[in-house]
Amino acid sequence: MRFRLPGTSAARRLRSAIATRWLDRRVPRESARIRLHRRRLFILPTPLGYTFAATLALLLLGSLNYGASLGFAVTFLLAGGGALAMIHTYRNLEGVELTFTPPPPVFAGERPRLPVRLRADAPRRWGIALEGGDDPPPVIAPAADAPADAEFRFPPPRRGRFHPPRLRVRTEWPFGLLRVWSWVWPDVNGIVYPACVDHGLAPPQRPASAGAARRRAGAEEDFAGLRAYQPGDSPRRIAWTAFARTDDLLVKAFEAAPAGDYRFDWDDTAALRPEERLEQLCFWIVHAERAGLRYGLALPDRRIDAGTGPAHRARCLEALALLGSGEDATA
Amino acid sequence: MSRTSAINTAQLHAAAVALVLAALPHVGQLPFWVLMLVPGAIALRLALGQPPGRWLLIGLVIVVFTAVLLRFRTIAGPTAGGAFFCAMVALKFLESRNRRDLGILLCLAYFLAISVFLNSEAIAVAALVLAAVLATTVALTFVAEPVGPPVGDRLRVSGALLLQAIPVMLVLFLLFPRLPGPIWGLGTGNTARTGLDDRMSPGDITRLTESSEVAFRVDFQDEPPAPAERYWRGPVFWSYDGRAWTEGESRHRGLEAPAATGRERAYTLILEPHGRKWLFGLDIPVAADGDVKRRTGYNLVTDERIDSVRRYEMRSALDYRLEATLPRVRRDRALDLPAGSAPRARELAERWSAEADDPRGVIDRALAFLREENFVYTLSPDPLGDTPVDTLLFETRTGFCEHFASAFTVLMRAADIPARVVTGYQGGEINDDYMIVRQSDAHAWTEVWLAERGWTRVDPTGAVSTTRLDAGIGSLEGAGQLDLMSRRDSGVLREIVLLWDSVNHGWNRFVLGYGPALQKQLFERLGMDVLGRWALALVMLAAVGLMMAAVWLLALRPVGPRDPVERLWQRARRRLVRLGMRPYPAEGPIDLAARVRRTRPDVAPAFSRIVSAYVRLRYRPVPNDSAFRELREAVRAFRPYRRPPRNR
Repeated sequence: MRFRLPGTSAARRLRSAIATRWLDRRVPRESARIRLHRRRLFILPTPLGYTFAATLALLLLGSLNYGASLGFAVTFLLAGGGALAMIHTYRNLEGVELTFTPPPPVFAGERPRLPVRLRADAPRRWGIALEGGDDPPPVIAPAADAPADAEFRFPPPRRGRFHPPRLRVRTEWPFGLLRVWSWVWPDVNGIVYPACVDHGLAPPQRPASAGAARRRAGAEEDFAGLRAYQPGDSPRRIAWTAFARTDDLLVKAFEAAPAGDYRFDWDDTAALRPEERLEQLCFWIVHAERAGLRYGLALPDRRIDAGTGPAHRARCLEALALLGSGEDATA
Repeated sequence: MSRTSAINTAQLHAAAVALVLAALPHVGQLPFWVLMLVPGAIALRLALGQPPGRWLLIGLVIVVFTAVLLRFRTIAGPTAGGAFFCAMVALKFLESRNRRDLGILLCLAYFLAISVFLNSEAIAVAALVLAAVLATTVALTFVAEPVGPPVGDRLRVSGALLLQAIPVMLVLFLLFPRLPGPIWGLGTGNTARTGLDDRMSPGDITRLTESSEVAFRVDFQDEPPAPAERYWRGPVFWSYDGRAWTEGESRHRGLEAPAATGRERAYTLILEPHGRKWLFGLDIPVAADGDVKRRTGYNLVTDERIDSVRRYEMRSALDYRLEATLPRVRRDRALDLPAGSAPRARELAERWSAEADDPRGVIDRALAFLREENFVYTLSPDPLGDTPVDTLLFETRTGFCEHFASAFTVLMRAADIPARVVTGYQGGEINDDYMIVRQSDAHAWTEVWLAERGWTRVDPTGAVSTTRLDAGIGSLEGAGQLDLMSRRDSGVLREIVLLWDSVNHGWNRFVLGYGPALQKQLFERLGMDVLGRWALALVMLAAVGLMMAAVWLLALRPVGPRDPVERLWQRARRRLVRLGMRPYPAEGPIDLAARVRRTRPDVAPAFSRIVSAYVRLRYRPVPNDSAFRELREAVRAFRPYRRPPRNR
């Protein structure tokens, strides 16, 4: 920010706390679909708007002094234009409808995305900036018949439930003299899984089942083909030759032998610090799922029976994510 | 898109167009090389692809500003200041690197374009300025959003903004208080404007008559005066140094107001800027509005230099008496001749004085002398040397009005008759319903003071050339060297130019001439003259607000769908919303009707009627009018209560 409120840092903190409380009351969390109606739009001149006004003041002074009638006329034309620019800028945001999709789950350390679709009827909108993420804000322009899609990106949050912060939709179109904005705080949330990190613990022993011992003795798994790289894949498995050829990061997938159910137990990871234990469990789950194994999870507060498939994986990871948050993942 | 993000090429191009257009109106006002700095800076910046390094920039600033300073020796005043400003804007373009610079640059471009009005307010200039303002506004949209919108959209929204601003502009233009005088000094204008000067030496007026520029235009309330009565009084000269006439000291004490004795004329005079302080009135002006003052010679002056078009409401007496008694001070001034000047003329005048029994006799003899001694009234008189009066009267005998007026006044003073030289214009051409007076109508004549009668106009030129006063300067010998518009013999082209002149006259009268005086008239007509300053400001703000509201309602209000079926359907949906039932985006009409049936059975029949008509119109292969009527009726009838009826 270029223009900061003056004052000592303590006073500034107090002021920003007051502003936040005011905003909290004024812009509470609301639904995932938000229509920017006129009562929630704010408008103020931009620094350029103030420069423009100062220019007009000088022109007016000059016209007065020299009695230049046309100087008056064109200065007033611009003054009228500046005032009407309020309506133009305001119209660019009024009636825009934002529909937020819940952010897809991420592992800790990754940047969560918040997809949003903007829909607007006539007139044609331009230059709507979405602020609140950490990237340069995406600027989009929904048309009457073509909704525009964009994504907020946020800095990596901690494990647990991720609530997007209060966001700002802003526009200066068409003249850059005025800025119209609206705060939105969509009531959507996503899950942040623990980071998928191997802390070197050996996976728990599988309960004995037919053929398992032979497989283990055979040591090598069967090569099953190439698939796209996913975070957490071991670099040793990356197919570098394929990468050199196609520029796609591929890893060699190996088909593990069908085996008895794994049970990843919190108690098996006692050697690690608490957060590391979750990371290790996460790593196991991701790899077990990738290998197509059946696995279950045992945490201090809950237990998930063995299963497989994306939904099962999500359930397990969610349980890890919410461990200790006082929130029930199944809720 | 922060304020410090770098400029892209599209933004640079848009700013370049705006800047070139902003400099264009200054062509002819500012030196060419100053104006060429703008395209020069643009070319350099585009060639470099980035702002030049700091030292190159500082060097350029020093060179350019030194050049401007050397050329003008000042930075005050419209021309020198304008040149400085133009150079500054060009350099600002050169060094612009981010979005904030661009915004400032565009504000400077607005200023540059509009500041041309301090020098010229012609219609063509105004059109160029409007083009520049539009281009600058378009460039502003590039600041707001550098990529994305096509240029057509940018032009449309900018044009719309300026058109919509016109009502606000009119209100402010009419109601914003105008000041009668400047707030600070205007500086020494370097612009030499044509017009009568504050001294008259032989040849001055002759030079002036070579220009067909308009000096002023006049709207008479009733019929204009006859050609021979069209004397427009300008500076009056008392002091003579043997060659040139100047006004000398002005002593107002005991100056009587002119007494009208017969016909009067009321008129509006729209004066072109001439860079001096005086204005002109039909002989003899008795009343004028505004900050107009009277000098000892009954000529009119204003407090400030006339650098823009001014409009004056005036009244003049065609029959009048000026100073029936002449105070001693002024009498002495009107008889003063430098010692030793024009000895032969003095001798002649003293002889006439001895022969005649009253001043009128002397005047008649002098006029007869001019009439009968083969004097030639010409635009190219022979040079007069150091003793102009004697040379003219006894040797060359060729002269123009200022020569004859000067000589005649000297003769009168030598014969002990108080006399003075009056300069101004004589003539005026009727175009449509107004009169044009041009620089080529510039004239000089003599006023003598006679007991009882007061100051009396004697025009020695009339004695030399009778046609000058009736037919104007165009009838003169040597008129071939006059401008087209001052001659009488040209045809169609002249008609076209006169047509254009009446456009200019309207422009001057209503746009440029709108100043404190006309504003006062307007307020009186609107009954607003009783309002105080603050009440007036409130009225102005209220009117501006009204205009903006009107624009908003008429042009900018969000409009619903154009399709009448869709509009009716939307209206029905809005009424549902009022009940607290917001249709979901993916909910079709039939699903919506089903939901209404579940949650509000009381309104379901009415809403189902609407839905069935809507579905018929939308999804049946051939929609028919009866379904549309049915829909319209159903929507009109659909006025559900907010709460469901209580059933017990």
